[in-house]
Amino acid sequence: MPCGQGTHPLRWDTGIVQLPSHPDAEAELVLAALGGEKPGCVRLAEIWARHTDDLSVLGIWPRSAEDRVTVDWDSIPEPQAAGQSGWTTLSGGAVPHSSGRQPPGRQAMQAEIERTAQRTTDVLSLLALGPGFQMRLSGHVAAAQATLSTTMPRPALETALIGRIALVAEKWIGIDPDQVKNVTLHTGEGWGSSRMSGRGEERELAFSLPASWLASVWACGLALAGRQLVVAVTRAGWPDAQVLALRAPGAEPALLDVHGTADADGSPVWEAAR
Amino acid sequence: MTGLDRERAETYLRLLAERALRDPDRAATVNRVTHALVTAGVVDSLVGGTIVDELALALETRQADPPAPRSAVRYRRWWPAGFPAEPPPAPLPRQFVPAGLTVPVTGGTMHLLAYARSGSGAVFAVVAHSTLAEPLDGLTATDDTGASYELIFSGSASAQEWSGELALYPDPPAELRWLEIAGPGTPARRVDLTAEPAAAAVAAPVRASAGEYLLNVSAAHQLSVLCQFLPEERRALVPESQEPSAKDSLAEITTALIAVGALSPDSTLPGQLAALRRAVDADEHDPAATPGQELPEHWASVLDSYQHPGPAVEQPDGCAAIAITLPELDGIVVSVLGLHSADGTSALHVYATGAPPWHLRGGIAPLPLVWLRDSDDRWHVTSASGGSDGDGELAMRLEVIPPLARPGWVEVVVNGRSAVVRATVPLRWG
Repeated sequence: MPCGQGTHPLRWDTGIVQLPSHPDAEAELVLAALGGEKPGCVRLAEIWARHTDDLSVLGIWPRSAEDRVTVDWDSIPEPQAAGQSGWTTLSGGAVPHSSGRQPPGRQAMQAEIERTAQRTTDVLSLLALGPGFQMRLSGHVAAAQATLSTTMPRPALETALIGRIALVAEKWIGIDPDQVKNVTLHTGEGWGSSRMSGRGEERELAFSLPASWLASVWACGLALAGRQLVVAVTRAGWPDAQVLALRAPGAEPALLDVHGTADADGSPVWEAAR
Repeated sequence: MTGLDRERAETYLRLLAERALRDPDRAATVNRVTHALVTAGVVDSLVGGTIVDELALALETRQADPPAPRSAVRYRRWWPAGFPAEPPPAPLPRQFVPAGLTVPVTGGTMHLLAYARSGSGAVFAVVAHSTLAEPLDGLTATDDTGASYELIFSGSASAQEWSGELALYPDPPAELRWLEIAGPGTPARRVDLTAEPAAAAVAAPVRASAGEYLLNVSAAHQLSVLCQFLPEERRALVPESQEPSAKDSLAEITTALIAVGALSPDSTLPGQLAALRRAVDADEHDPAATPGQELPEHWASVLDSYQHPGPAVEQPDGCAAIAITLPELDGIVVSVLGLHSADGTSALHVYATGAPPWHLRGGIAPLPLVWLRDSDDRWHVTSASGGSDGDGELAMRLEVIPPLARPGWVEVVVNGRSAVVRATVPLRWG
């Protein structure tokens, strides 16, 4: 990623973002707090940390390895100081920015504009890291959400699950993603369930899967191993792991040994072990 | 809507957005349905705005060509997000006294509709017409003890009409019997402040569905805005290529309302709204275009006033004070201050507390929908046309369509998301 006048590597390893070009990032943060410039790498690591449980990541980020999201570093706006963005921009430049006291409603709107600007910069910066990091951040968010214990409905998480399992099912059995319906978050014992009903255009595929499926299966690129749909991981590992996998909707899952290799982006590709 | 229903509605919208990500042609549907569900109060405006914004960003970053360099604020939210979900506490509703007096001002007249005293001071709700600029400057008042006050106008002005409030400075005592209002070069006129509000018959609120509220709002929009243009004029304003099919749009919104439990599948309103749209779009000389489905009485009455206007009868300008406060609807307390007619138009003036602050509304109208039925059994739709909005208080001017012909009474029907309130009030025009 661009940092200062150069380009620095950023590394993700077992859940931690590492900055090899900034071995003493803590000291650089102290200098930044004293008025120095915060290096781009350090700033990005902070952004990453702010979004590791942000559900909107699952709303915007890729649904599959084929779902390409492209953001150039050049298209990312420079971070702005508080008060730098404002009504001037919103109103198309016609109204000069006022430094005077604003009414509370306008102050709230000004603050919202700044939050939105910051958020846009954050999201684009994280997406610009490319597919490998995109998938891993999705995994962080899914893992964080899966650990939350609640019986309340969770529309954003449920939709994230539907949007992803629908595309996996399309590759698995060739079903139209719109025919994947009644997908719910499984909260009980076991891996969940799957069921197919109807025929032809009336087919409907239903799933009940735990939120942890997004983190431990989908985000690891494990959703399909060979021609089987993976519903749970029974023994995690790299490059060899063991999973529970379905041969067909409604079938009982069976244990499957899988072996992974990395593609050009560094993303894992899994096959049934021979 | 219960919390669970709101989650169901949010899930419905998110699934629509998920499909739109696979088929970007569906993105406009997400916007329309989100706007509809927010208007119906089924989905919080912050949630709706987030869904629309996330979809827009997701689609933009999936375009074949990399996005051009942008400003950080390029993603302009049409709904704000990130504000506290709970708006600040609303000010206490005011207790209004009907004034119902017309007084001369420089270059015209001023109608005093109602007087109110609250923690924030004392005000008259007023409407003035004048050919001169700033006709409400220099007004003063004297009370029954001889104390004098300055009157300061705040509100909106358009053409030759000023509509808003006259605040008294300094703050007068609570127990005044009368005030005499005078302007530069105009004689003083006494306003009785002991009058009782109009003897209104206020019916208990009747439960309504959020979906039917939305369809009524859509009908009111058709009747108050679109009816003012001939079909060919509307088509010229919005080329067909840019206008979503009204039929498709209504169908997708109706489907959404039923799916989220905000509208009964047996409701006749969607069919009636479709019939209204056909009627509004129809050439009135084409008998084949007459809708086959019977419209609700209030829609049909307003439509009929467009399609079969009676002979023009010149009405004198004037006002009728009402000053009643209606039962709370959806957290909003509406006071109906009065009516005024001038230059062939009519307006209803209302004051409300409890509406969310403007930055939390997501562009949705803050007030419930108000219909009027007059003593000749004709219905009138209203449409906001000015007012002031701040600190949790709204003072709004609602244009009455078609205009009133000085009826002896009106039934005020306030259509909220959860209930409908009706009040019948006698009118004394001055």
